[in-house]
Amino acid sequence: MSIKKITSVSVIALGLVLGACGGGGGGSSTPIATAVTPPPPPPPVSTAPTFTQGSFAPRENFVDQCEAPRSGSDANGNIFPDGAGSELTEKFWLRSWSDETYLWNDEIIDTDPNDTAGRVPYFNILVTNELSETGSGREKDDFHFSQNTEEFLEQQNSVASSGYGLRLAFINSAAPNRDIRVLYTEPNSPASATQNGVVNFPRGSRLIAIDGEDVLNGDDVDTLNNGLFPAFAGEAHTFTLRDVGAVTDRTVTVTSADVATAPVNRTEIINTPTGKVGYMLFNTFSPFESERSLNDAFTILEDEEIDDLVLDLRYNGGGLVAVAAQLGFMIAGPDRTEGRVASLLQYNDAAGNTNPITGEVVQPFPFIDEGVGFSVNAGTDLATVDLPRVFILSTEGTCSASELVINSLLGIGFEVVLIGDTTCGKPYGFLPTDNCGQTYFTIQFRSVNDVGFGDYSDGFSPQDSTNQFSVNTTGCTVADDLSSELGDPEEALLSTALFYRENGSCPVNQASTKASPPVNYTKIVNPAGTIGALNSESDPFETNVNSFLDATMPQ
Amino acid sequence: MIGRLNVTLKGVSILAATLMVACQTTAATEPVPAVLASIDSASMDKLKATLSAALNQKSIEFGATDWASSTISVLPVRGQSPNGAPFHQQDFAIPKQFDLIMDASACYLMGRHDHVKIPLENIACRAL
Repeated sequence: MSIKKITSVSVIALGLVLGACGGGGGGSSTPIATAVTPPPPPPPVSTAPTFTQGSFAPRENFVDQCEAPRSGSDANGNIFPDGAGSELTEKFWLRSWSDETYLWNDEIIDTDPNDTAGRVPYFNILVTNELSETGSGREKDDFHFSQNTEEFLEQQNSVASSGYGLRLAFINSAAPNRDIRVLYTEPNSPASATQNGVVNFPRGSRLIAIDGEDVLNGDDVDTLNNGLFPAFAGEAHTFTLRDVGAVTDRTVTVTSADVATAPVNRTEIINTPTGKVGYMLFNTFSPFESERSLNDAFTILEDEEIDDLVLDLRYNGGGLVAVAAQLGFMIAGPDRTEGRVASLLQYNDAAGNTNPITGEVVQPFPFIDEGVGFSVNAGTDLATVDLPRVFILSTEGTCSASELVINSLLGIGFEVVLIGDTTCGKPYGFLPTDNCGQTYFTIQFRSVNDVGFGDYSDGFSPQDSTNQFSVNTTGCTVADDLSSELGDPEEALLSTALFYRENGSCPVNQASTKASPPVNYTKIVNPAGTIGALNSESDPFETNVNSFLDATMPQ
Repeated sequence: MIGRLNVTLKGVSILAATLMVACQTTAATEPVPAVLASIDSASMDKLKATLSAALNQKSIEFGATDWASSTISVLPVRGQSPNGAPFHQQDFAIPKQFDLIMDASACYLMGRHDHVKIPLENIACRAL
């Protein structure tokens, strides 16, 4: 654990002197004394910070002291706070900031900033080298990252709305035999429109050609990317597809549009001999609209008085945690959630119950039974199906807030039946932080549930999974099934959920034979990039640009 | 439930605090819940500009708001995380709720989260 030996008085004194000297750039002017009685002469100080193993000055002593100060304001209109400094002060800021806020700060090997050239290389070593505590052999921290702030803000402010309303799986992103399939389409989008009675992009269809270029083996990636990622609404592109079960290809021309994501993509009622089963495909917690979208869907399910719920989170990568806390209430109802914690953020041991980023006391996130004002009026009672269990359909694409729903429900002893495959395992979080033009991402907290559990860095798995490092819960392992439409009772995950519901066990022949897809999980990197760049994993945030098109588990 | 209880208690405490302040400073008129006299684009722009300055936030986006009520919801600034990434701290953000209150001839917003009073200048409102 870090030892903070420098007293606040000496730190403040050093900061004042540095400030008076214009950032410690080598000046030696003396602050003008205004008191009648002159103070005792200050001890000699160096304008450059010095390294003492295990001793950390507050990060405020070094913040915004930049080797190359920016002037003006950023893309959000915020005036740059930069002052004169040096690469060394930037590295000292990184060292103190990491010590104060990094979740595993006591596992950082304290290294003299003078010994590493460059702020980014120095940041890169301010990370734990331990392996996952689950014993999986995975790195404990595989999300330690920084990027130029200007680029980061550009990505944050980009709105990738032009497209077809189409989400694809990149099973093999490089020729030969490039393999791109349709996962699902957005309702009321160009992709879900019909021509001659046929949906433009049915689930599972394989892309054969785009604007005449061979998808499987073609090397004109610009043509492929331009067709896949239209820059503007109104662009017409021609796609040749091979539908599931078809022996011939089909060609459609579609025009791009500004497509809004429907958080709840579809809601179905499945009548069974033993009662009504609600099915809901919920794809993202991210837009503010997700609050209303969920409440509207649950109002339907509540009115239908369903007996069970199948919640399809297989492609849901997360988003707003408040909405996740609302979803938990909408599933489990008031009696099971009242007074219980959906999520509590834990920071490093030194921080205790204080958020070391803001200095505020950490407050638990309860299950929420009313609108909070994203898109449902604050205070409005939310709908609830008030059930004693839920079936959740999952894949490796089930992440963050989706996993938080699972963990929060398990934390109150609620029965979660997981059907599909291991979730992605992301209980951690961060606040991107700029200093001197570089934005740093370092893991700062984990989310735990009502009983304090949050160690699911290898994901949640159905109990019959061969993954020995994930957290097992009731359910069945089944591979994603692109051969049937989502919500179709014949689709493998949904049919397994229905089977389990009827029989209390998994179907005999599906689990071990269909689980664990053999193909790598890859994500689209950048609409402006090349198809070949799909294999890059160096920059996790490049996946940010087009949320429609991150690949998921292949069939 | 926790959420509803919190909101209710906050609402009561805000109103109580408001009344106390009013008693100390403007004994002649009690503060009352209010609504905007007009919700045209000009009024909205003024309201956003006022909130932008008060919250030190470049742009203001309203959340679900019943403009016939005295409560206004302001959406948090979002930080986007790519699918599959860890939580962004901003994923934990919730909208800020403000109560529109009229005191004598002036109206102001009172933040439920911090109880700070934001005067509304050149924005007409009327008692609810």
